[in-house]
Amino acid sequence: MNNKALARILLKESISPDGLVDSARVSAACDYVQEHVPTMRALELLREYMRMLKPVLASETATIESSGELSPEALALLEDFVRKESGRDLYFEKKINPELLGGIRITCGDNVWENSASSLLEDIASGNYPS
Amino acid sequence: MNEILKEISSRIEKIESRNRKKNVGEIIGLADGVARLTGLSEVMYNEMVEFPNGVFGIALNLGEDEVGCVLLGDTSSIKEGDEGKTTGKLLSVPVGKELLGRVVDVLGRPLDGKGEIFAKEYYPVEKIAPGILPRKSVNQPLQTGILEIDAMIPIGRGQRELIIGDRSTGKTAIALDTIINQARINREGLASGDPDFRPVYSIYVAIGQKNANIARTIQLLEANGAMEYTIIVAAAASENAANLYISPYSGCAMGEWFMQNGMDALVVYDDLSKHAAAYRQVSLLLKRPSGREAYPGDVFYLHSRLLERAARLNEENGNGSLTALPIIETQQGDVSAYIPTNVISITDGQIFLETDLFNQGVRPAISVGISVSRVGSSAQMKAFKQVAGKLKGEYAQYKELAAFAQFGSDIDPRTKAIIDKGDRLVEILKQTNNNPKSAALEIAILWALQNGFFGDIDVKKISDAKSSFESHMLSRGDKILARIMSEQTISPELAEDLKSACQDWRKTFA
Repeated sequence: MNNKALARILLKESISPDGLVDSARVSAACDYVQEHVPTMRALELLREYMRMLKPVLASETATIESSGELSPEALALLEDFVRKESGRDLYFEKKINPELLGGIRITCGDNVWENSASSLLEDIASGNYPS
Repeated sequence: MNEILKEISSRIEKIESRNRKKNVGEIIGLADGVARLTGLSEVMYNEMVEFPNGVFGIALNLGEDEVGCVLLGDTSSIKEGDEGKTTGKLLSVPVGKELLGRVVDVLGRPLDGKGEIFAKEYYPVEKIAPGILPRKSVNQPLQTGILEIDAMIPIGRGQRELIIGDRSTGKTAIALDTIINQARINREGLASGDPDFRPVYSIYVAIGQKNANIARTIQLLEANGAMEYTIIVAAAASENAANLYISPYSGCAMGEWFMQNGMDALVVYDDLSKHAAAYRQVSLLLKRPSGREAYPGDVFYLHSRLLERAARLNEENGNGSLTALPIIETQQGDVSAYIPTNVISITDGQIFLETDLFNQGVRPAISVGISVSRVGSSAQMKAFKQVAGKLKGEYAQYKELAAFAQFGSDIDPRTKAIIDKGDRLVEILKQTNNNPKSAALEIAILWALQNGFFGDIDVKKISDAKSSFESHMLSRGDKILARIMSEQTISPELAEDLKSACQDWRKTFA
């Protein structure tokens, strides 16, 4: 079995029944590799495992960026919105980003919901959608 | 009332929030106009992906872990680590009459410095060809203005006729003459005020050509007043392979607009050999498995899906048409290579050009024996059929006999007559570049030939005789030419008038 297939099995085993990556399962998977796989191959395998794990972890965490401080009510509304959109439970991080110039940006894995002044300005500036 | 407004505004907010969603990826590899990205888990096949600095790409490879995108336009500002985001749109180009007279790139952006194009509509470059039901058989001719083609290999509106031959045999010249002739017919037709007149708009797609050649083509079309009815889509040799790959589809989309709106259009793909080579390059860079001559397995589909979009639509669907003239360059006359055989099998006939004929001074260097039009004859004017019906057979017989006759001088009178007539026919069919003729004049020339008016003229003087006949007919026989076009057939009375016109001409030409 090649490293890619093995890494995929490890990834599958790292996810707990609630659908989230379990840190205990991840360290157990790493231990297994170190004990049972020759060092040179283990290195490659762990790298592949990490590469696969990264987007999964990223999709479990939603980062809510705003240009200023958000009220707890607004934050709760946004969290509800992202949970509903992604259809799963998530970890949340919040961040103040003055570069947004106003509005918010929520990043969850490779999905981005953005309603900010900076993105609107970018759209106006580019203005070259072929359709 | 407040509740109602709240309900609507909440719905608007929901839609807006959905619209503001994008799916992003990160470039992990970038080479030769192809980007590999991680992320973009929701990207669709053939979807446009937007990169920084207004660069767009098309998602062509959807892998488990990564997405392969071909980049369009200038990619020098893109680097590894940049973000690419989905647009939810298929690659589209502006279409409509606003593009006529303009030179555009593969995305429909102007290249001619004549200002912005304010197109009202956009069409996706990749579109499924019309099915069986909206189609109709080819029934209206598309006059190329080239006597040999209009007489023996007629093309109909909605047909796909391949122009194939080695380098420098006059392939592009045939296509450009056809475009020039459409412009001439359009000018005359629109000036006549005939409500039934249907102009033909042309789209010339230059694929992988030198910029100097494209500039020459533009100058030629401008000099002949053809640009006002023509759109040029330029994907020069210096552009990346993805642009070359997309260019014929862009041109086709522009032509399809005319067809879908009940008009007639002609699209020239110059040439599909370079297009196939560009697609091979893109495929190899995307690490797709290669097959014969290193082309990918779907190279047939590449051209079939493009050429199937040329069609003649029935009355219920607007009665429009899109005629395609793809060009293929062969290597040393080898028509059995991979791409030529593919395109030959897709099209409704081919015009084969031979280097030997070209070098002998037979121009256009069409090899009549292996050139064919499978559907065009049903669209040919009746008068043309009357004068050119037997022409191909006679020409083939002449070629066969001429090959034998060169070995000996003892020829029976019947054979000699066939060879003499054939020699004159070859001379009559010679035609210079950028000199398309009207259908009526072509019919008159062939009628004069078939009725022996060129019979006693020395073969070396046939060319002069033809020029003299043309000027005679254009100056004194214009009414007869007009009658040929209006009656569309040569009636006994018209034949009598043609005869007296030819006799008059012979008095002036010694």
